[in-house]
Amino acid sequence: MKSYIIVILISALLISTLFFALPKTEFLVPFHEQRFDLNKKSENYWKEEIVLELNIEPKHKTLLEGKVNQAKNVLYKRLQKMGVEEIQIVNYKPTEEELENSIDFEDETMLKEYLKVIIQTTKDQTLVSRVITSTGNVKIMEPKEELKEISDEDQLQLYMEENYEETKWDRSKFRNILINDLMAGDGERSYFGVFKPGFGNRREFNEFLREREGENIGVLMDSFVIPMQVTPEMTNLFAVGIGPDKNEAEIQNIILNTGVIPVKNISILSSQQKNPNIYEIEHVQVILAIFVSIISVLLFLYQREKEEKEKILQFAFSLLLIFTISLTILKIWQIPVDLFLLIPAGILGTIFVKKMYTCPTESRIILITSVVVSALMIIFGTGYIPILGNFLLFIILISFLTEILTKTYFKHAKIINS
Amino acid sequence: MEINKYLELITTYQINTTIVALLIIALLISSLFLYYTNDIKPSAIIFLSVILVPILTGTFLLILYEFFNVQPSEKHTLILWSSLFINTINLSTLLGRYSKEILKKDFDIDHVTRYHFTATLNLFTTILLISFAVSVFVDMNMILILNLTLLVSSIVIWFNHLVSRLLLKEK
Repeated sequence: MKSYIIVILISALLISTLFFALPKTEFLVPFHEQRFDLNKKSENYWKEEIVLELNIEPKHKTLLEGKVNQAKNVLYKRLQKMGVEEIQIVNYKPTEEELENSIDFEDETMLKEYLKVIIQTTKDQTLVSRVITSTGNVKIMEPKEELKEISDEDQLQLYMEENYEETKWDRSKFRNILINDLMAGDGERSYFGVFKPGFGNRREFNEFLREREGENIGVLMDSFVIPMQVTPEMTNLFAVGIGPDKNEAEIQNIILNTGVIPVKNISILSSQQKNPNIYEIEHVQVILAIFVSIISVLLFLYQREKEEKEKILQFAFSLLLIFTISLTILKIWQIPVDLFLLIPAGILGTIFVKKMYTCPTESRIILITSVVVSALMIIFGTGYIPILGNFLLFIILISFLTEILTKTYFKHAKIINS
Repeated sequence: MEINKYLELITTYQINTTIVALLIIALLISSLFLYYTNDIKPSAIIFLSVILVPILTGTFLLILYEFFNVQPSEKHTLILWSSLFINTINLSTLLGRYSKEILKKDFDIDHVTRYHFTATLNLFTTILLISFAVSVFVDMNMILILNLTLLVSSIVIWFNHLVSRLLLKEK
């Protein structure tokens, strides 16, 4: 009786996940309002070519190339951290027409360099613009004498950079700015940037704060100064309010903790919308491709390796469960997916599972190295690679579950037959 | 061939992160080899095998960009990482068998080479079959990625087999 129940349950799992995994099955269910088709990312892609103007201080004239390269690296790092799928950053020479939009600085000696940033992504366009136009520098500043006698009507002056004097405390003196949600003064939770002084700077920074206890200082972030009064508690925790919005906190985390772009100012000289370059592929094609490749591998296994029939059946059952469960999870949780990436993920997943079944003595080493490579894809990969790494780790994880289910299914099916 | 033209498209940050990832993979598998076999030669060769993947991928991509008018794309990094994944699986199979056999007193060279030959041939045929089966259903861009992955990983896994065989013959 127990065997019958187990076999029925696992068969039901396979049939139901197969039903969900197949394309167009959302039309067969009676509740049409409930969407469970694959959430394809291809519909949300946008592509833009943006020309950035970097205004570099004349003192960096001899190091210009290095500064531009540093800017390229920081911009790439930020966009990658944001999860932008395709990024290309190249040096650029603007046309006369484009140069008409150039912002003239009071200081004419300012050096100008240009970068063309080509982005293809599904991320929010305004957030991407913010990330690429912020220098990421943070400065702690002291108010000038005239600011101390400011009238109530002219409060805006409190936020202007020109009313403050620089101190030695800028981003380079802090090892990181930890974005954390803390209790604000009004009892509500809000995000704060907690400044962590670099090694050897803590004592000096605390001294700097102690000397100014009760006085006003300003923190320059994103071209605006946040005025604040120094309190005794600040020596323990120097935090600047970012607001209650989680997205804003995430963007600030990227801007503040991916390095400083060594320029005075960045502006967008021109931008042009382009047609995104997407590999068009349908859900049906993905299913067929994976299905045909599994069949061909099974036939090959049967012919070439002369493996036991039961082992091949177990392998086929396990693969079928892996792919149907994975696609069902993608459909039900509406996880945004790049359809073309399912193909390499399916191929690599099939190769991994096949090796685990055909080389059982080496399976432990294969498992360790595969997990390491997938994890490295997530950590060090650029563009689509972290997404592929996530798929692979997910397949490796699911393969454990399916192996247990497959073995249980075959064991109980044998009991029923005997 | 103007390599600089293509190198300009990549930032040093990309190059550095890829090099770090490759070094971690190469060092991990080489040190596993060294730990299990106590033999420096195969460990060094394994290190080379991992490094060979980006060299081959880069060379084939440069040829495609220069002579076949293919536009550089971020999607082409899939070739490098997929080939690395396949190579890692092949090296792990070799490591398992090699270490098990080499420590035996009646160490049989043919056993290891035969086993790894079969494993390599099977892996090669599997990726060949899958790539061809999938190629029927996808567009030219995906076919390019799949077939370049097939080419790079095939060269590397046969390199692994031939080198390990040569090393074993020396013993």
